[in-house]
Amino acid sequence: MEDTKSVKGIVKRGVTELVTQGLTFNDNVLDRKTNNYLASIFFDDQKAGVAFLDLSTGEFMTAQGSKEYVAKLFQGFNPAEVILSKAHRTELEHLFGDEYLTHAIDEWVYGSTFGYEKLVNHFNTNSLKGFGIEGMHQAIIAAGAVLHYLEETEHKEMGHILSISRIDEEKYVWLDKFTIRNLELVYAQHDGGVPLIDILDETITPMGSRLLKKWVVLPLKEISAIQDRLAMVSAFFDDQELLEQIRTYLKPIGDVERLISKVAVGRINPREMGQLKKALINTIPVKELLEQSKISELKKLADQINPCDFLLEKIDTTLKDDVPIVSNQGNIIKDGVDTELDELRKIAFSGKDYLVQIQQREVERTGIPSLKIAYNKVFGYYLEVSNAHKDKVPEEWIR
Amino acid sequence: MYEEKILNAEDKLVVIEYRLFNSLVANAAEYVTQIQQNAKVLATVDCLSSFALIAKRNEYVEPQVNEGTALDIKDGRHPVIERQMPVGEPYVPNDVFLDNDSQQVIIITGPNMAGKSALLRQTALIVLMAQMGSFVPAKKASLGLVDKVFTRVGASDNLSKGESTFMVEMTETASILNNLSDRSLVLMDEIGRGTSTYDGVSIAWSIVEFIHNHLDFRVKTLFATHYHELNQLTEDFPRIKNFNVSVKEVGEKILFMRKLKEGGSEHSFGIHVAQLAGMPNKVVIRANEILHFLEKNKHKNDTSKKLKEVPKANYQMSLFEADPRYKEVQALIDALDINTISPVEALLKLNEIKTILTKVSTSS
Repeated sequence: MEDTKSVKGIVKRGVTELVTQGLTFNDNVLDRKTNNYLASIFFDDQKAGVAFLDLSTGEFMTAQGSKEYVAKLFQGFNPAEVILSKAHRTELEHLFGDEYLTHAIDEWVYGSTFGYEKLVNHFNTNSLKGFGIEGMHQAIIAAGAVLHYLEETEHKEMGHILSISRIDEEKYVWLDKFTIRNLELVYAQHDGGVPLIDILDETITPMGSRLLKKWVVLPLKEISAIQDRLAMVSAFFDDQELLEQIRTYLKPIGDVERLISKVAVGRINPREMGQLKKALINTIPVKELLEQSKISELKKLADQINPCDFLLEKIDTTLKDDVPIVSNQGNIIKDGVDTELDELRKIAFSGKDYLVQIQQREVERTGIPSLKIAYNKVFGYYLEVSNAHKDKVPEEWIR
Repeated sequence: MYEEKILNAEDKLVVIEYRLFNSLVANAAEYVTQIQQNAKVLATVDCLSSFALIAKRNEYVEPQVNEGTALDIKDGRHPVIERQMPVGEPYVPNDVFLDNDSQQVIIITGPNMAGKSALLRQTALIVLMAQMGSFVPAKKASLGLVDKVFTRVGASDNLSKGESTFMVEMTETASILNNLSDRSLVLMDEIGRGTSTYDGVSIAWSIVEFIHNHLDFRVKTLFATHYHELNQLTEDFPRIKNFNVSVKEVGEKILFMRKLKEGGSEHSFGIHVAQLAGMPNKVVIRANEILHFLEKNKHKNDTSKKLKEVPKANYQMSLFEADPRYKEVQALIDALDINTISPVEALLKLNEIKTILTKVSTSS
C-alpha cells in the first residue's frame, strides 16, 4: 500500500485483493485451456438472468431466458464460482443442487437501477444499447452484481473489461443440459471416457483452446455463419502449406489474451512483457498469410488484426532481451533509453572496476600483498591492512 | 561524492528501471482493445486450423449444410468411438436418412450391445460438428439446418442423487415434447425402459405417435428400442420407418454386425442372452413359447390387445383344452337355460359338474 522506502516506521496495511475461485489472475490456479468464469445469476417471476466474467481475459457475457436456458449455459461454461442474491438460494439449489460453489451477497445488489448504473458507469456510456442488452432486465441485474463483486473483492483494475456481449439464444443450436452431458461434448460421463472436445481440440494457443470449447457447446444455427466457417476450414484443408505456416506462427504467440489483461490491470512482469513482444512479432506474419488468401472470409480476419507496430517498436527498444521475472531488481531496460539510467549504470559498474584499480595500484606502491579496500557503514570505503604489514603503511594514510 | 554515487547507483538503478518499466506497461495498456481483438482473431484462426488438421488426420469430409429439411449421412462414423477402436478393427459406418416427408421417424430395433446408442449419438454429433463449422466423420453428408437437438436415455442411472429414475426419464422426455420445433432432431434411446413392459411399450408407442402426428412440426426422430412391438407402428403411420442393427447367430455365439438395415428385427436375442447367462431351462423354454406366440400374431397391429391374448401358462390351459372330458362339462353347461332354472336346480347342476370333474381328475 505504501513504498517501504518513503515511509518512516510501520507501513500502512490493508486488504489489497481478495482471491476467490472465480476471481484470480494466478497462472498456477488457472488452467490455460479453460476459461475461469465467475457467474452471477438472478431470478424473477418470469425469467432468469445470468452473467459470466473471466477476469483473466476480460471476457464478459450476459444472457437471460428460461431456467432451462440458464442451466444449459451453466453446463457449457462451467463457472468456477457463482454469486447470487441471498434471497435466491433455494431457486439455485433447486436448479443445480450443490453442483457449483456459490457465494450469496446482499439482496440490494441485485437491483435493476443499481445494475444499470454500474454497467454504464464502468463502460462510460450513456446507455447499454451499444452492447445490445438495453432492456434485458434480468441480464443487466446479474451483470451489474458482477461489477459490484469485483469492487468488493478489491479488484479495482478493470481496464480490460471493455465490453459486455450478449449470448444470443437465437444464434445457437438449443442443446439442453441433459443433451450436452449425454453426448459427452466437453466432459465424459464416466471416468476414463473421452469427450468430443478431446478429439476436436488440436489448437495450439490457450485462447484457441478456450474458444473451441465455446464453439463445441454453442453450435451455430445461422446458415451463413456456418458456411463461413466451413469455407475457412476448407481453405486450410486444401492448402497444406498455409496450414503448416499458420500453425508455426501461432505457436509462439501463446496466451496473448491473458497477457494483455495483465497489462490492463498492471500485473504484468518483465518476462511476460517479453512474451507479449514475441506474440506481437508472430502476429504480423499470420496477418500477412491471411491477407494473401483467396478466401474473402480469411481476408476479413486479416483486416481485423492490428499489427501494433508502435507498441512493438516501443517494447523492442525499451525492454532487454533477457529479463528477470520481477520488476524491482533492475536489469530490465535497455541502454540508451534513459540518460540518467545510462550514467548510473556506468557508475555502478565502472565504479567497482575503479575500486579494483585503486587496490592494485596501492598493493604495488606499498608492497602489501594482502591490502584490501573494504566498506562499512561508519567509515565508508577504507583501506585495510593486516597487523603484520603495519610498518609498510605510508605516512600520509590516516589511521 | 563519488563514493556516494557508487553506493546509491544500484539502488537508484532499480528505482529508475521500475519506473521505466511501468511507463512501458502504461504504453501497452493503450493497446488493450487492439490486442484483445487480435487475440480473438488468432483464437478463431487457431480453431479453424485445428478443424482442418483433424479433418485430414481422421478422414473427415466437408458437410453440405443447407436450408433443406433432410439429413442425409452416408457412411457416418462416431468421431470418438472410431478413435478408440482396437488396431485392425475398423469402425462400421452407417447411412442415416431422415426428412420431413417420407422418413421422419426411424425406429431402430436390435439387441443390447448392438450399437443402437452409438448410432444415435453419432448422428447427433455429425449434425452438431457440421454446425460448429467442422468437417464430419462420413463419406458424404448433406445436412438440413437443425435448431434443437434433444437426446434422452431411458432410465439413466441417477441413483446417487436419490431421484426416481423413471420419474427423471419422464420429466426429461416431457420437456422435449413441450419444446419441439420444426428443425428439431430428437434422439430417444430406450425410452420407457424404466418401467414395466406394458407401461414401457405403451409410453414409447404414444410418444412416437405424438411426434409423428404433431400438428405444427415434423420433428426428425431416431428412436432406439428393444420393444420390437413398436415395429408395427409403420403400418399406421406413413413417415415412420423400421430399421434394425443386424446381428448374426453363429452357433452359440452372437455376432454384432453393427450395420443398420431397413426393416424390423426378428427378435431381440434377449432370450438367447438369458440362456447364455445360465437362466433355468424352464424359464427359457417358457419365454420362447410366449415369444413365438407374439410373433405368430404379427398381423394384428394392436399391441395391447395382442398382449392380452397371450396364452396363459400351460398348466391352466390343460384343464380346459387338453382334457378329453372337457366337452362333457361343456355340453352340460350349454344345455342350461339360466333364465328358467331355479336356484336349487342350479346348485344340483353345479354338484353334477363337480362330480364329473372329480371323477376326471381321479381317473386321469
